[in-house]
Amino acid sequence: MTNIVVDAYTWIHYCRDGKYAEIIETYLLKNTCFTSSITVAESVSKVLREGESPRPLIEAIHALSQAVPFDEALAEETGRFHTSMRKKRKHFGLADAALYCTAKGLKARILTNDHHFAEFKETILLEKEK
Amino acid sequence: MELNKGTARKLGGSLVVAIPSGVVRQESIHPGDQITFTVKKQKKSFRGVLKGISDFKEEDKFFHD
Repeated sequence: MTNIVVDAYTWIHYCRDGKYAEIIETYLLKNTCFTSSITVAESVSKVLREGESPRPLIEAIHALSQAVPFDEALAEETGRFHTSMRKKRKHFGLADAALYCTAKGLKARILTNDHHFAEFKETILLEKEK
Repeated sequence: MELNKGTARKLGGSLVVAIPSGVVRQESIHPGDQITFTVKKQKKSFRGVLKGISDFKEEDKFFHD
C-alpha cells in the first residue's frame, strides 16, 4: 500500500466520472490517500462556481482520504520550494508547490494529470496510466 | 486468508458481524472459541456523484497567475 496525495483535478475528475475515473477509484480504494486542505478549498470553490453543492465532494474526500492541514511549517517549505521552482519555470503555482511539499512530507506519490508535475519521480500522471 | 465482508448490526452499545458459514467450517470454529480478527471499514465508491460539472482547469487553481 502506497501513500498518495490526490490533487483537485483528480477529485473533480473522479466525482464527474471522467475518462480516468476508474483508474482514480482503483488508486483511492487500494492505497492510503491524503488531501491537502488547499486542495479541499480549490475543489469546493470549483464545484460552487459551477452551481452545485460541494457536499458529495466533501463526503468523498473524507471517506476516501485523510485531510492534511496546511500548517506553518508546510507553508514555509512551500514558499521556499515555490521560489526555487520559479527560477526554472515561470508559471509554477503556489498551490502546485504546496501539493508537492505535502506529498514530500508524507513520502507520498502525487495522483494528478497536471503536466506541471510530470518531471517529478513521485508523480502518477493519469494519462500515462490509461 | 480470504478477505471476508459483512454488514455491521447494532447489538446494545456494540456492533456485531456474523462469521460466514464457510469460514466457520474452514477454521473449525465453535461457540465459545477464542478468535482473532481485523476490522476495516469498506471504502465506498463516490464515482460520478457530481456528473454535471466540468474538469478542473489551470485557471481554477488557487494563486493562479
